[in-house]
Amino acid sequence: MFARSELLMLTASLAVLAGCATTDQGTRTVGERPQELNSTEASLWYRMDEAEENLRSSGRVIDDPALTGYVDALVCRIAGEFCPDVRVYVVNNPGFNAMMAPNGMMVINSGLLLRAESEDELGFVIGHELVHYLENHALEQHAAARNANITAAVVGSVLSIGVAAATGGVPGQGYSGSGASIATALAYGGAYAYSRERESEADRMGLQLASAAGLDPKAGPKIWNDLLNELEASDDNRRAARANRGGMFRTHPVIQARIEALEEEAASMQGEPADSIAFRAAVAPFINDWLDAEIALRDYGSTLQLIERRIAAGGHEGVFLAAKARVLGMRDDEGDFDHALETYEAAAAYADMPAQAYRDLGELNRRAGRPAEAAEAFTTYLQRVPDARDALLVERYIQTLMGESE
Amino acid sequence: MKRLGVLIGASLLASCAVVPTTAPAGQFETESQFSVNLPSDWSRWPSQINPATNGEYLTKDGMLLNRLHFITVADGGTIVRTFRDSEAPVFQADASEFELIELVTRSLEQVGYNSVEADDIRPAVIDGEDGLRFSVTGNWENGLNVRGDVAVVTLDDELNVILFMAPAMHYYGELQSEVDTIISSMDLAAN
Repeated sequence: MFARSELLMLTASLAVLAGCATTDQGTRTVGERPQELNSTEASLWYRMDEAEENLRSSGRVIDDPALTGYVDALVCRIAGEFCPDVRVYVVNNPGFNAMMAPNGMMVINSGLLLRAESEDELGFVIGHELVHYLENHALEQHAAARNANITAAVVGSVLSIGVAAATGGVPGQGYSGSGASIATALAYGGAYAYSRERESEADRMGLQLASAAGLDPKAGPKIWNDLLNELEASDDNRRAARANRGGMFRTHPVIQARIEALEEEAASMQGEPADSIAFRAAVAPFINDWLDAEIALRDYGSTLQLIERRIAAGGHEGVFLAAKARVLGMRDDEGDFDHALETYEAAAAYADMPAQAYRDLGELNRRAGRPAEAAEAFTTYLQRVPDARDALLVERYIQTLMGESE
Repeated sequence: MKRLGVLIGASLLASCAVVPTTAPAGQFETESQFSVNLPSDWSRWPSQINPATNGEYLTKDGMLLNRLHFITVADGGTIVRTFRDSEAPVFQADASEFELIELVTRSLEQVGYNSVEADDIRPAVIDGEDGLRFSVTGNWENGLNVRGDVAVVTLDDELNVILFMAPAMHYYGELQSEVDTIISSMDLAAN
């Protein structure tokens, strides 16, 4: 019925059509829920409802009325009329990240709150996530992945047949099989490029949302710049390289490109830094615990960069100085011991230095062979926290150290 | 001939498969640098079939109901099995005992446990070496309250860990005494 060339032409046309199939899902309306229960959106929505239920009962959510009340209020300020459609969960996770699901579940990592210096910076990230929700990005990405599957299958077959015809082989075998692989790579490369476009859109529109809510647009490029500096300071070469790694299979744009685009966008907007007193008060009870989780990763380069930046910005000085001293003590490079001692001394001048810092100071001295100083610091720790969970261990240290110092 | 080749290949692959086996009562040589004495039979899950962590497990009733984790971590190593670009708490040979507690609790939080806290922290002599015992509490990822017991001891720059985790209700109490016996029998020079 068809000549081989016609068949190839027809198949190629189908592939192009499949690849061009629309992914646009429009913009969300207030209170919108999927109406057709067998639709893709309903399926995604149902799965996200299940994930949200699991998250609620998981123990990962930080269940603190003051913190969640503050974050909820900020989300509502930015989301406006969509406020009732969005539910926010702050979870214990040291990574810099936030996530928005198509059913209205927003997840904010503690690692993001640790890094944000102000309400403006947190507001920008919330704006970014809200754009994913308002513009139906999850559904659009799902559609892009579906199109990539179809394109890969059809174009792969065409290339496979073509290569087989040219080489006298069998379609799908030998050299012709590579045609399918190339088609798959190209199709999925296109889907990833689409994801990067959605991220750029969320950056740009998120900045507009935050700015419209009265937040400082300069906070957008700043938070990304701070993350870039932190990644570049990493002791882990792979993590440092990741900061500026591009490629066709990246879901997000290169950080430097995001910063430049956001700086350009922010330059045309109005806004002054917000008063961050409420933000700092909301996160204050948790900063020390979040720092502990960060320090446990033992990437001294990036953690010190983060801590130094937060000390320079002001706020929670006793907590950040004590954390810096602890990291220096753990790293133990030349000069770190003296620097750590000085930093503990500086931290002690602030009322918010955690009692745990005395225990860490004791350990620093103990390891440096200074039993009297170590015993004194450990004793102070137990005076401050007499029912500490590690009291037995610390008491044994004190006994041993006092014996050594006599 | 071709079919025969495929069959032989499939058989070879099948022989490589690792499955849970019985760990009978008596001396148990772990994959790590130590052995223990088991008062009763357990089911053994070798390290190859544990996707989230390094080391091997013993269980009585299934991994979600009770798990006894044996692991030896070298300097710079992790309890959590790491993949490209993933981050996990790292053991360092010069870590303080406080840092070892942090290593265990933070690692647990990366493999499905949440809100993990150490309690009843106490020095312990393990096979003649200065070590540490403590208990942990937290939630499994489905919200279930869990409890556990931990023994850690550093020897020759390696961290040896026995970690018992079970639902706080019934399963923890059911095996706590036996686990205590197992931890007490830890023989660091066995392998």
